[in-house]
Amino acid sequence: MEQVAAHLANEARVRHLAGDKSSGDDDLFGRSAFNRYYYATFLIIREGLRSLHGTWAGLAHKDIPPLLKGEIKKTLKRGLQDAKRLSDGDVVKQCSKAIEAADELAELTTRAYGVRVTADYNPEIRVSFNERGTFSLNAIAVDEAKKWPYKARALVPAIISAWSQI
Amino acid sequence: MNINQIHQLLKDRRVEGVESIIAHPGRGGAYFVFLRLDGVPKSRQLSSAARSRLARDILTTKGISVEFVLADSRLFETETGVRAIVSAAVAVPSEQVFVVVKEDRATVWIGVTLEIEDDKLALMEGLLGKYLSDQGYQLEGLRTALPKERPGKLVMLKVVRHLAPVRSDELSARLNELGFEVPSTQWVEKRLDALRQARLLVRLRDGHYALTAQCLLFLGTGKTRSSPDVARLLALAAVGR
Repeated sequence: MEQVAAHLANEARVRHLAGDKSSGDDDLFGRSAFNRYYYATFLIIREGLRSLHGTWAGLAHKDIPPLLKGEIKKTLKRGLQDAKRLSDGDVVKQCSKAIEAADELAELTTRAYGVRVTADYNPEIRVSFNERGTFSLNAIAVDEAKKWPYKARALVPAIISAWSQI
Repeated sequence: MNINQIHQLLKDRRVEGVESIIAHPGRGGAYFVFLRLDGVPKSRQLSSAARSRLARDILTTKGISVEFVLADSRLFETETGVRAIVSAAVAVPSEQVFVVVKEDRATVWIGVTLEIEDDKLALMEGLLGKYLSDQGYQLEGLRTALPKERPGKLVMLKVVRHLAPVRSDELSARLNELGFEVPSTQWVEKRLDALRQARLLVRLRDGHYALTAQCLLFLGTGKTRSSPDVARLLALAAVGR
């Protein structure tokens, strides 16, 4: 999916630089790129949540940040306390890291979802291009969106590995 | 409240850099507020605590929920510099490096396992610390991906609880099944011995291990379907006992 997103982003850039602005195709390709980057990220997160708890695989997009900040963090904090009581330094470190990862993943999900909602439901907010053809939506650069899946791939395993220890 | 009224509300609360406000499609009365930090003096930017307070206050007084989404090109540029430093020190694809900022503290995440000598790692951390400090951040730490995990004390005790009385080779096999890296049964025995000395385990005459009452109290119990007693029943059934 990231390849599709990259292709859409490139197409938006090429069309914009070719002066194809009146048709609005540059805008359409640009917002579709954000949508695909979001879904690439969402699927990575959903797969991670499924490995923590089978029923979490079916969660609605909007329910993921509260889950990460709520039940998942609570469990990790409890594990952290248990590991401290057992003087298990490695697991303490893993849990601390996983708590940070859960916070950041919640933030990332909210952010990416907000941009995807803009892309899909708010056509009046146009994609903004600069002279080099790179672009942003709601001030979030497509180059940032490209990093979302990579971030999710680093953050999700941090949670899974601590979870397996507690 | 409509979006114009929320704009006005944020203006009244002196929130600067509002790029746009959009409705949350899945939750009535919920909105995303996109805030651009570029061009807003640092002294007038809302800290994360101030944003949380404001969101809570708006929810209480107006009954609407707002999620702030920040656009900060300064962070994006900083991240580029961090990637260059990390990539120069270790062979890591630059996409795998990113920075998480909380207020002025920055944590560098590297999405791969690093096999790097301590002095090289210290040098990289030094460079990152200096660079981030020049950018107005304090380096909080470096987080790398973990290699396949060895089991910690807690998970070992939980597995013993499920299978007790259990031999070290059975425990070792179960931990392997759970995806942990278990170097050898001797390694497991060494860990079990440490737990026994901490009075969390007993070794029975036939070589089996079981938890002490003290450990059972420590691990606690529950009455839901995630109860350890249910888990024990299932674990014993799975091994045909």
